[in-house]
Amino acid sequence: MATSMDWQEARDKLKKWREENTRNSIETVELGQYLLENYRRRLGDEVWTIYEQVCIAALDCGDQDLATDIIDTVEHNFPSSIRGKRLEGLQLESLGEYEAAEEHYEILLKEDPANAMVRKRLIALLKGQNRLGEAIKELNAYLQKFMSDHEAWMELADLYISEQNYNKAIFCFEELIMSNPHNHLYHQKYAEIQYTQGGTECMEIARKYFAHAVKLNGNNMRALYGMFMAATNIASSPKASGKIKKDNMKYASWAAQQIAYKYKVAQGKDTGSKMKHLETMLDCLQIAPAP
Amino acid sequence: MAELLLDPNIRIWVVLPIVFITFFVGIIRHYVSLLLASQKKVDLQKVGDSQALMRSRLLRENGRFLPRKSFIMRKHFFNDEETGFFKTQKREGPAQNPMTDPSMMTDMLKGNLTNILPMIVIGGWINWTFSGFVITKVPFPLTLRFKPMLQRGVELASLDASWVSSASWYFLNVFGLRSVYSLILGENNAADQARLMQQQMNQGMAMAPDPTKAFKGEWEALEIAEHRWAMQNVEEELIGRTPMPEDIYVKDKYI
Amino acid sequence: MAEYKVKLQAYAKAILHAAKYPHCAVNGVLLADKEKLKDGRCLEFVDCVPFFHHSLALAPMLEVALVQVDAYCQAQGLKIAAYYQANELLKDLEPDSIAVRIADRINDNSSDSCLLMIDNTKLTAGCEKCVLRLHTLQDGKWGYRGAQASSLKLDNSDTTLRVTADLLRSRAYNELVDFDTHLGDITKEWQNLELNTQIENCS
Repeated sequence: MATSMDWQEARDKLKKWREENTRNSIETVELGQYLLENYRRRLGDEVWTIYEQVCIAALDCGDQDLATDIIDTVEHNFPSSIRGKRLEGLQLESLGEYEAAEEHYEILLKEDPANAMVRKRLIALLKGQNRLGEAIKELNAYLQKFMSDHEAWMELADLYISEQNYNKAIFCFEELIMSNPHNHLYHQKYAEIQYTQGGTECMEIARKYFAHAVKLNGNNMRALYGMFMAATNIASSPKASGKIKKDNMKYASWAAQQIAYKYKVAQGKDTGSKMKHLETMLDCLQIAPAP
Repeated sequence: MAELLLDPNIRIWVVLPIVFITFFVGIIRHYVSLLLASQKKVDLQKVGDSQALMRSRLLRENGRFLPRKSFIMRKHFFNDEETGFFKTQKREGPAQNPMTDPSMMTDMLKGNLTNILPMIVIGGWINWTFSGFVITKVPFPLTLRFKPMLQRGVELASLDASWVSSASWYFLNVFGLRSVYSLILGENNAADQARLMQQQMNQGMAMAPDPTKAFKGEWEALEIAEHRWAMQNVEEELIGRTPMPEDIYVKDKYI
Repeated sequence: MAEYKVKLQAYAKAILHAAKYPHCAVNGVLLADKEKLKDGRCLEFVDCVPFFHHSLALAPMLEVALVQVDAYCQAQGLKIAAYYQANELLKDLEPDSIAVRIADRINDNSSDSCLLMIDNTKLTAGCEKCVLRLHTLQDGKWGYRGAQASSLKLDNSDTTLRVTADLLRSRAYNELVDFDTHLGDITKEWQNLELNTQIENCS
């Protein structure tokens, strides 16, 4: 497959994956190997970034030989680079030698205490060993120093979610929203956590943020569904007053209409039966809302 | 006015040499700066400080996207009289004088060595060797204001502004070859001066010279920041804004 | 105690789902035929709906998925009868509290339902063994009863495993659409009709 491809196309593809953090490890290894074997000279300085990318992908696929080769090449050319040595640590991790990897990273950290990359690896190590509590503690310590590292806030939120500590996950997502208030995905996920947390107040907030996510991107289906679910949920609560009930019914039916419309557009004309499930689903939720 | 006619030798012995010289000097500079570059070590505390400042700034700007409770909580974290971050964190005085820190000195020296020095030396040399030539003409008419830019070293009041002098040709090359460098040396190369200058600007912005002062300024700014929730009426705005799907349908049907 | 039988289509899709997202936890449900459910003893899983590969622990989209699949099942005469999950970490086999909660909820509607964990360590390209671990509800707790006592069987075991291996080799998982993907792009269907035909053609 790879050989039929133009080398520039392959390079651009790798670059795109690198920038978007797509984890296509198998394809990355294939493309990368093809590029590195045939066109190493033409790549210029980008070759080292590709080496790094392919090495990580190879470790992900368990291709230790390829990874070792790359690490040797990199270390040969950049003997003092911490970024290069990090690859060695990654290999130790992938072999399951967690203690050795930890030691390796500690040494690197002594050389350069402000190196965020190495610190993050140490935290990832804990996570890999299922020591979530410690990972959370370390990540918090890390964030005290690197307060605007959004990737880290995201990771911490995920850790809290898997611990079902939704309150703290909410805090983390607030940081993310502040960092980029125009990203609808942050708003949507924030609302999802609020929804999971439950309770009238959180439901209200969830509905608002789902709505905001829809406002930012009208095609966000999760947000539309979420707005619908949250509004139905509030409307069906026994404590809700008449006005609140009425308003929320309005929001819910608006969201339902939008959802139905989106499906109609997406599926064209030929699929009547699928629309039916959707409609029954929306209807049955509206009459007897979710628990 | 009679049209000027240039000696073809000027093209071979002045225009092209200047292009080649600037180009190769750029390439050499790239490799020299690679050789001289030392990895910059950053101080952990400084990173922490600048990131805290950034976070507080974000809170001021984007705090309206958070629920009120969360906003107050964060403001409290930074600004509380007793436990606030900006009140409790004490940093020692202004940043050190570069003269007292030898590592900073060498860094500066290296920067000058690879950037300013070649610029002055080569520029001076070109000025000296090729001074006084009018070497080419831009193919469109220009106003008088361009004269000092394009005709450096040739002070002729009556000369048309489209003519370019050798010294100006050199400067045009220095700045104009940037995309050629990025083609040959790859992105982010050291030969690219304009970018280098930008970087220096950014660094200046990120590292406030005196954390105590920066903290105080940020504290004041945050103190007067108010919370106006952006989500107050979001549903109504949303529903009011978008046309209902039926409307669209009905329209499509009968047109 | 009921016996459980997993048909090819259900098994293959669950495995492909786990293979498509090797670095994430994945979950989903298995569907059983309603008619056959009535006559007791043996529960036969005929289909599988892959759900999520991102943040399994969040409720809203899960609710949407469950309600939608339920509506689909009612139309097709099926029933949600089992929950499956593969954890993020290779060696982690235990169902976490979220898995238990979802399984409980499925159990409220379907009394013989079970919880299946995918054993990542056994998930190889050759597919030598069945990788599902059966957890059943006893005295209000989900527990693993050991490999011997397990009443979980693959329908036509050899063929099923062989076909699954073939599918993995041909990277059929690229075709698989789970509910997460569907929400991102609603032109893709979580019913995976095309993949179903591909599975049928392989066997």
